[in-house]
Amino acid sequence: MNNNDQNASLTMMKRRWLQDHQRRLMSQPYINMLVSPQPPTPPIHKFLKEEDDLITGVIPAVTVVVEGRSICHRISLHNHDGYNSLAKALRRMLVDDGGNEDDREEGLDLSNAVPGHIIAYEDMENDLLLAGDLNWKDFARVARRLRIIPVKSHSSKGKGSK
Amino acid sequence: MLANQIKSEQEGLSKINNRHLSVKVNMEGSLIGRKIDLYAHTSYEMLAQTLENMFYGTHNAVGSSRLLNGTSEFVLTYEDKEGDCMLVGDVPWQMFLGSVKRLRILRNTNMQH
Repeated sequence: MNNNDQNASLTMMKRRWLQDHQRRLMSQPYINMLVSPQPPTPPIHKFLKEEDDLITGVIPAVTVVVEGRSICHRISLHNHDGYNSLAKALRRMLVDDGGNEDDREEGLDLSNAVPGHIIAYEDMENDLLLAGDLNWKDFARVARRLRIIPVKSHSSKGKGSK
Repeated sequence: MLANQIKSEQEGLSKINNRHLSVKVNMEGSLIGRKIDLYAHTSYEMLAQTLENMFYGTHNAVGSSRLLNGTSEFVLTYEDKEGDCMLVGDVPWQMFLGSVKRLRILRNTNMQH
């Protein structure tokens, strides 16, 4: 599938980088190699930046599940550039405002996008985590599904500090 | 607020480091976990402060970390590379960073002292 293509090209790029790195190491005096005992790590962030356009076309939208509602929604995280943008989209999607949207959208963030609810996500390991801890790019990469959960349905959420 | 101070301290450290070690933190009894960048912390004390702000709110902003000194009803543990559940605080901080995979805050009744 598309995911495999992505992984394949990333692996290829990693392998090429490692080969170049080996060649660079061999041309240096031995003493330099003693200094860094850690195995070389290819600059993944550079590869992923180049692959960003590829990723946008390939990564599917994530499902948004609201606890208690039977109908789910879909949202494409890569159409948004930050948590505020996501918050606006969720507010428009899930909260039946009916009023003047422009006024309400000031000061909108994840914590008040869907009143009375917490925005959490499931990652690739199927763990449920609070949205907002990671930077946006990492979040968009790891979030597989969004879960909008009413505040009362779990004990000691502990987000008391505001 | 102390939480904001800590957060900006961490962001400063992250910028200097340019490396991140984000681990999941789960608290027993809470459905939703959090993520913490361990490289944005320099000591166990700092880590405990962040966790307490996250899970307890800022009630105990002043004073030593209850998670580490055993007075809290909760205990801070971590899962290491071998999958074992270890008590946080036994090894030096840097060594801890090398073996921690995720954090778990468990109820004190589980532990045997």
